Amino acid sequence: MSSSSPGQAPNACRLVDYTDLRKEITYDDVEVLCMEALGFPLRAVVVPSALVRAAVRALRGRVAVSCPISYPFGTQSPSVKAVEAAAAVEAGATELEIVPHFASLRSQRWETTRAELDQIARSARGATLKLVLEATALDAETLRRTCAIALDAGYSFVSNTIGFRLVSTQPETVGAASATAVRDLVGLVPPGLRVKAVGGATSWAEVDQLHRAGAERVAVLAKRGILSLPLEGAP
Amino acid sequence: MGRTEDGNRPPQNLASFAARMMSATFSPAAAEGEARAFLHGFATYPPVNAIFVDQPWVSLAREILASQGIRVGVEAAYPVGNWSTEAKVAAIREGIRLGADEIDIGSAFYAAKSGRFDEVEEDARAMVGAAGDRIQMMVVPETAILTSDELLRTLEAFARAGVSGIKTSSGYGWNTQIEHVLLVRRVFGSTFTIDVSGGVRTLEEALGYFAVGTDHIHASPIFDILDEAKEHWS
Repeated sequence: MSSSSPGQAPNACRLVDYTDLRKEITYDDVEVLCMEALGFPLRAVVVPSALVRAAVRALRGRVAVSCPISYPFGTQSPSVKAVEAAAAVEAGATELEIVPHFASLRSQRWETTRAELDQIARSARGATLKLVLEATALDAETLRRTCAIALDAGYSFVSNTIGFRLVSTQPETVGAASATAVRDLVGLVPPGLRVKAVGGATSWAEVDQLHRAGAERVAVLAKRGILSLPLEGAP
Repeated sequence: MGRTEDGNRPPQNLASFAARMMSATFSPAAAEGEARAFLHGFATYPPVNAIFVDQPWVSLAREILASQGIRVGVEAAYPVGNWSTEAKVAAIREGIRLGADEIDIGSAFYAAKSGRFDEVEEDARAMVGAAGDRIQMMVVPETAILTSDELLRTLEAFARAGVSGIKTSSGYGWNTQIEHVLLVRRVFGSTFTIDVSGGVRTLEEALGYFAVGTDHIHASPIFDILDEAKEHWS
């Protein structure tokens, strides 16, 4: 890529959470992911909790390491999420993507959700916290209340989707990022809480579009070549 | 209800068939009311073996299912996996604390795909230690992403670590093939209890898996399959 040296990297690079949560990810994949992230440099790499230490070693503090907690469905008890969060921070993660217990949200058990988010935040020891929502499965009022609780609990971001199919037999239930989805979520979050766009961004044009819609982070899925696109036209 | 009533002989009637079937309801696909309705739906069938739920729903599920003799399971590092060993050990301990009968848990897929089977073994050994004999644990090698060599080396690592039961795949598009069960039975004999998950949609498919030595089957369309079974054995 002719314009990819770190000195020329545009601000768009600082929006990108370069993400590889594939089940078949290898240590070599983590190496490649980190080398590519360092080349721009990007804002963060996102890897599963078992691979945080490998990513931290490769990035040596020059790019943040983030990992999802209780990915993808958030079905663990809060105490289990707290252990995964603490272990990830101990391994060097400085950002965490927390998947809440969605059924509690859908049942409007706000105190349960508040206690869960608080417990995880306490275990995260200062890491940047991103709450992973599933906007298509939650109504606007539920999203609004949840975002308010997240802000109170010290979370910095909310994202629009887990990016994984909700129903095992229905691949079409994977959430996606769109300018509309981001704008809708931006309209619901209180001041102080930012939006991360998750789901399907594979080009700088899409990063730009989602940023213009209000996203301050964009998950870009790691596949060889995606970030080898020309940077011209990036914001 | 015991976990395995008939060894791995194919079921001969509706009751023995149901007793070897499993299913799950996870959020965010199901809100609590929907999960309750799903769990109550089993009352009109002979008892299935187990239903898997979110950890926060274990007590609710036990309340609804225990009187029917249906076991309650939880999952961890599932269906995507690659969680830290610390997180998985914590999930097993929490499953025990909650009173779950079974936990199905993903192995270190990244290590297997990287050829680091010593790490697969180390991770499995930690999980076996946490589970002890206090909860049935089924470890997922994820047949759908492994070559035959990787699968066999993963299962060798499981055996060294003391894993006694495997769940072949996670579903969600990661499906099992009948050849996987045949291979594992041929190479490992009765070392492992084998539960199949991923892609079983009909009674015919389920019976095909039982015929080659499968112990239990997880199926999303559980009520459709039970209805077929009712008709088959009526």
